[in-house]
Amino acid sequence: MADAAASRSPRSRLRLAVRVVALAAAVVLAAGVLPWPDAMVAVPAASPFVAAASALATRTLPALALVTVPVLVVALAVRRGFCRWACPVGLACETLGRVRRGKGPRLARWPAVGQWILLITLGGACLGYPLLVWLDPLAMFAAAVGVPFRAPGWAAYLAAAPLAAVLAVSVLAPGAWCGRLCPLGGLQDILTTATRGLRRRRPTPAVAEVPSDPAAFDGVRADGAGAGRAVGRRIFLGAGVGGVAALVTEAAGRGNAPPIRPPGAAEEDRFVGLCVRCGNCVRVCPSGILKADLGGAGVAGFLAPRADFSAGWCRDDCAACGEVCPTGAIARLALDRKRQRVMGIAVVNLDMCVLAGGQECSVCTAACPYRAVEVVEPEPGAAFPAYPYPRVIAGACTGCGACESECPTAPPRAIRVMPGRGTLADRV
Amino acid sequence: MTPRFTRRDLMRLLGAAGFGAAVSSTVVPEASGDPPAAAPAATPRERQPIDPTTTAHPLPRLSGGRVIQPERTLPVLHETDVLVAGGGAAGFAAAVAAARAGARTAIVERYGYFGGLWTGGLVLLVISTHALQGDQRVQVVRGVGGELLDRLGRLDRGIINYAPDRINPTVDPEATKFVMDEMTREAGVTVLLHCWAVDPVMDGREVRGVVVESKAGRQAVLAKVVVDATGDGDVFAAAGAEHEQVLHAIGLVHRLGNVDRVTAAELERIGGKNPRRALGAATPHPSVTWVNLRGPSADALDVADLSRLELDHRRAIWQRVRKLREQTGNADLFLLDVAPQLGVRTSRLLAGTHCLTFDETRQPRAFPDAVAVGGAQNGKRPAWPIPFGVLVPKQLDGLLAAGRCVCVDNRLIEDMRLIGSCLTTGHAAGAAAAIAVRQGCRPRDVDVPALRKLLADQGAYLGA
Repeated sequence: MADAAASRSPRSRLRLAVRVVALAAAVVLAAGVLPWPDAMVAVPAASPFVAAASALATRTLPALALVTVPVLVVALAVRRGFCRWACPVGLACETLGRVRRGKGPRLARWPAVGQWILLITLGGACLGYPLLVWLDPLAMFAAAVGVPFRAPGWAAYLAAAPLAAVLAVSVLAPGAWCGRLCPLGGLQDILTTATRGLRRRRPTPAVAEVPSDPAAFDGVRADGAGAGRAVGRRIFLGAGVGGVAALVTEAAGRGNAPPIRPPGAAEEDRFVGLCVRCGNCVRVCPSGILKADLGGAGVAGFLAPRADFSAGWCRDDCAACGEVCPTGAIARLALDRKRQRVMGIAVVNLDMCVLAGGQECSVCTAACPYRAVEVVEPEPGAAFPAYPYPRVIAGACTGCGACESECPTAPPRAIRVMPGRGTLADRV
Repeated sequence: MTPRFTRRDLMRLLGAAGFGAAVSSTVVPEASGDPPAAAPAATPRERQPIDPTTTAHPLPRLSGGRVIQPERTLPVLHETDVLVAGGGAAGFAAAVAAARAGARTAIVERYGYFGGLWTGGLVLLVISTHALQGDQRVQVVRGVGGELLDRLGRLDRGIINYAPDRINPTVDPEATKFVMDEMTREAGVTVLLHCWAVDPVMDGREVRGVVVESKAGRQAVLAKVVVDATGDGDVFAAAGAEHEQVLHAIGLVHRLGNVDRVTAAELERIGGKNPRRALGAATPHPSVTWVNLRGPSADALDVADLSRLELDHRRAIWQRVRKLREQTGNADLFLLDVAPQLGVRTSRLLAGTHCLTFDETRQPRAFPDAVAVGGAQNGKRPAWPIPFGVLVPKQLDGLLAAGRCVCVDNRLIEDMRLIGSCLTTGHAAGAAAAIAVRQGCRPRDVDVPALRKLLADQGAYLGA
């Protein structure tokens, strides 16, 4: 058996050991069981694809981007080095690929979809909309690992669906994901091609050659000469398509009422693009108000986090969601700046309000961590409201939802948060 | 326990007041609960001629259109170490804490029962009993207040409606009065009901007691330290302490009887989203609910405002209940009672050596001189330490404030005026007064570590 022979070679054994360790490390990090609070972010953030897309889209280069450096070094030192030595998804795909080894379709004629995903996404990211960044394997992996740590439910299970799909593809068409579809793999191929001038002058294929383990990249074609020009064309085309798609996305999203997003969320179109659906924010939210959206806010926002105040509200002593976001879809904010961030604004329905109905109630005024709900005396002789009633102070209300979640009326409650963005200063 | 109010005290009282033994022994009951040790008591029916000269004092007179109050010597009704003015939640807790700490303690109360707005105002819901300490929900109303809630819990129909984790219960007002009576008696507090504290007795800049008005006229109660638990800050305001006044809504609570006889069909006829709400909130008695009306903003210190509100509120309540009876068609539903006390939410606020702000409670500060911990109305916000300085007047000596009139900013009024906060600041003020007496120092100079130790020994919660 070639396989058995390969696994006996010392280099093979070393590589397997390294990959198993990398897989275990990725699981432990993504599980968020370490005392290090940034651990959860590390796995998706280690992807240069995620880092590049988020840096382009947010126009910032956070310190977090440093975690991609080892990945880049490995990728530049060894062709497809990250895939072969560290990628946890790669190990899983390769292992599953053995089930039907040799029985899948021939991949030689498949286009390099991964590169197109990469280029389209980066092209879109230049305009603020990294369209397909959620196809990053490390983000998918982190999302799947996080599932057991989330509140059970469809939204949680669906977070594992992309990884499951990738694994299914690997069974049906061994090597197809890693060799052809994966944008992170495509990124490494492009880097290898683009930097070949820096290495020894030697023709370098635009797509990975048949890898050392035949099972993994079965049927990967070698392009040979002219690859450099091909890459240049792809970059141009891909970025162009991405840019156009980004503009279309923005135009299509305009006018839609977005749901309430976590505090510090980027503008809606950019937010649904930047969000890799890793589920970190949903997991860490101490109030449990962040939920993966199951399509209520349109297809573009599928599985992106939305706030639901039926069970709690956004605590004013917490900025955890921004701290665990690997892409900057939710900005990482210091507590005092987070308290200035607006998720929406509370609106009172006086017809339902207990206080406006003549009975004492001050639940919303007391619940508000910002004391943004005041009680107003009625105009003398006014028919309605004839009793004191609550009024929201726009310059103080962040839309945290405390009033809504505590309001004693039956849902939809007498005081509810309407979505919004920006800072309190914007309202003054 | 030895009675704090001895026979000698009583005789001195009688002599000073120049009053018949029968009257005085009803005004001042024996603290121990034993039969009065008074000398020959006249039966109520016995008519006695009263010599008018024994009660005569220089009277106010009209002079050029002005009313002149002549100087006069007041009889001393009682002398004690710690005197608590006001028998609401704060005053009750202060008196019990001071007496338990070993200080001779007396309490004066304008009505005939303890509890103030809690019982007399029928504000039966105790909110802010709990708060978050980290991610844990803790009970912050402990000590005297916590014991009171526990003892209510052991009574049949004393307390109900605990939200999860036993937070924010609703009490029965009579059960609450009863347990307060028992706890003050057990602690050996000298109870002076039907006495309205109207003025401080001053010795320089130091308060050395209060003047009370009662059916016996104007009398003095002398003390080493006075706790102003009047709610309106009547004593410190009259003593000239720096303070502010805030207008707030003044409502009136009523209770409905036979609500359990209203059938579902009858309830439906009320209409609206939640017709049950119109019938009010549950009490320990299944047939009784309580309804709190907010009322307009008014001046709690103005007799005209208070009188107008009493009349307006009672008329509105009567009309409201009549409408409910008509809507439901249930003839058994009735207005059980209207609270004897108007629902004054806040009025005067002391200018203390520390003004606690809402922001200080939002990111709770660790005060080294924390003497109490405030709760969250919904039990879901962080517990906030209350520093000693909110009880201490800036300049005035011999006095500590407790309850809703302590020093807070506008945004914190809503939390500090609640029963839970009144119980804890009251406990703190009573313990501090006892230590000031023990150490022979001004209240502002009490040894804070000793105070905190006493509070901890008395079961108060001072934070994690």
